Amino acid sequence: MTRGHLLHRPGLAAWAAAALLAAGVGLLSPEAPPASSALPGPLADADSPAVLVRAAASPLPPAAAGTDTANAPVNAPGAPIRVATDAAAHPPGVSAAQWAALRAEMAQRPDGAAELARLDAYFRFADTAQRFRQARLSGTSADLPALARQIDEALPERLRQRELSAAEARQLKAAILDVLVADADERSVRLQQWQQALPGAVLPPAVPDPRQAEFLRRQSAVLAAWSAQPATQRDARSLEQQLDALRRSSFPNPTP
Amino acid sequence: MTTLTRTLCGITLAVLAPLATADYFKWEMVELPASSGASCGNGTPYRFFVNRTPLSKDLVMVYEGGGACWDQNACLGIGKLGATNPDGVSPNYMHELNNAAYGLVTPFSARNDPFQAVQTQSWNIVYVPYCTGDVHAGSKVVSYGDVDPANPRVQYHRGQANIRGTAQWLRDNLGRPQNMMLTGFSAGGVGSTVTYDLVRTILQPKGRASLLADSGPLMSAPTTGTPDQYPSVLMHNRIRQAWGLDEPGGLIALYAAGALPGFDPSNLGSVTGALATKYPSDRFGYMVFQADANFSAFSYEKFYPDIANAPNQVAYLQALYARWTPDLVAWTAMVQSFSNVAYHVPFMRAVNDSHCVTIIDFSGTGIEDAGVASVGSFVDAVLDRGPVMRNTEVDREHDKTQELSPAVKLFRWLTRIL
Repeated sequence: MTRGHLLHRPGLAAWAAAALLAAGVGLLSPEAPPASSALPGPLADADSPAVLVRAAASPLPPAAAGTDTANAPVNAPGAPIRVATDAAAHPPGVSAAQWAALRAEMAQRPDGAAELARLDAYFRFADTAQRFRQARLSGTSADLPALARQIDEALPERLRQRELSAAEARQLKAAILDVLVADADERSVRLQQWQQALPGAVLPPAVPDPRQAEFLRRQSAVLAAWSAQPATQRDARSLEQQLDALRRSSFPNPTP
Repeated sequence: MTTLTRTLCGITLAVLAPLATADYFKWEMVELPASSGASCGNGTPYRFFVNRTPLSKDLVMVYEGGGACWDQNACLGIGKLGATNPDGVSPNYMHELNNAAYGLVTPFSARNDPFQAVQTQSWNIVYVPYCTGDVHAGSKVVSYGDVDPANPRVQYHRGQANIRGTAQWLRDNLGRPQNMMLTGFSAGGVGSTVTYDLVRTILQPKGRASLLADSGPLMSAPTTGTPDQYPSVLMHNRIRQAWGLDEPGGLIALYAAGALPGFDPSNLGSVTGALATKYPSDRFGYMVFQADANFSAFSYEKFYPDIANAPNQVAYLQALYARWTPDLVAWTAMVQSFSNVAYHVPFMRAVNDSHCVTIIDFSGTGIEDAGVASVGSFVDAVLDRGPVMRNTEVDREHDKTQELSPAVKLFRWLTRIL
């Protein structure tokens, strides 16, 4: 169910072994896989989820920011905000009527002007990303480098605005590098640098939930008391009720 | 502003009304209150993520996968057959790179995916993380001490409450969607199937409702059947007990009590047909690779000593497929008797042990001998009410040598460096 093989199993090599399987072919019988040389390598050292957490959370000094981005991001703080200010000049991907409705809606919000500017920038970014994808798929390469650079410049700000998940941004970065950097090894290095810089450079580090450690401590106490009872007196339903009560008192309100 | 413009604005704003305070096109975190019963496996709050658009009233829910557990180590995420996110889901989850499938997940959860377009990328998107080890279906708290009795793992199998709370929040805050699609991969494929009725009942979509369940087939397995007849029966019987599915409030108990007519409570696999019967206008699409060596491992490895103790990888796979293949044949025969159920069963893709058809991108997912270039046309047919496509790949050669896409190469590269 995904996790085992993605995070632990060195078993993509299973195909290499499966290549030795006899070809007993029924309607659905899986048989020999590709030659082992065409197979991915083992997931070395990826045996613990903690490894992944550490890798993702490694803070880098702010100096690592912008390794791949030479120019200021679109609509970065201090940069001139480019926004369609009337209904006739709507951004791509949205109709004049939709844009007018959005402008009217944003006019009701105290942060409406900034939000409208963000939306304008997002629509333009999404349009560029769509043209980039289409150009890649259609094999028309003339515009690809320019589109790739546009996306690259906008990526940090769109990520900072939480419009892209980190994974989506990484896919975009990989696709950009695929266009702009000819050497495969160099692409790998630059993608790795970008990935390592991500937490500190673009996103604020996650703040540990102070409620959680206290909850886990109290949960251990509840469990210890329950376990100390004679086996005949341990009632699973009672334990569940105690733990639910503890959860409600530990997490009375959702995280803001 | 002209009268016409004002009218158009009024009409559009009426559509936008339920989302009036939203920050569109942003991943917003929603934490369900503890009082709802929702929880991650370690007891910490359950969180999901919403990316809204003002341009559509359609809604797609993407159920995350990531293993399953019914013992201490697996619930702690230890071992190759463990469950993901044993420490819960952080508020910053969408902006970390350590979520399931190394964050590549599916084109259904990325609006600006550079490798793969799908029509639901313009819908409201809900990402449903997985942290309970129960394929989003359980309703039981269990103390697992089989490995370390002195320090047991308390596991909150609260998947059902998480999905129920998520659906209710969506209904309360986004209103009834126009079109609705549930999708998920691996454990999320199972979860989106078994909670489809629950979510659909709460959301009450006004238009089309569809399911695209990837690599989580619910095999036919009557509780009294033998492993020779129904290889998945041992796993089914174990999870029914471990996750409280038959207990009061459990999913099977709810469905058996009348929520899902046609459901046979003695056979978890009957959910597929019962859904198709209850919702004849809905479309149900299932996808799985014939050579899936991951879902099959979860289904059989802990229950069959000849698999668990196989002397080498060849013997392991032979023993695994000796169960998986007949199970899959019986499953396709079972589901094809329902006119609104489609399936797409290609042979293999040389990534992630042929597990999950819709993750990364749709390359390498075609059934060429049936004239289907990729699973993309299958996805569109389900959503657009095209032909009910039912294809199983016969050819065994093409898939072994097919060219890998840049996205798949990226995935494989990531698995190496991580």
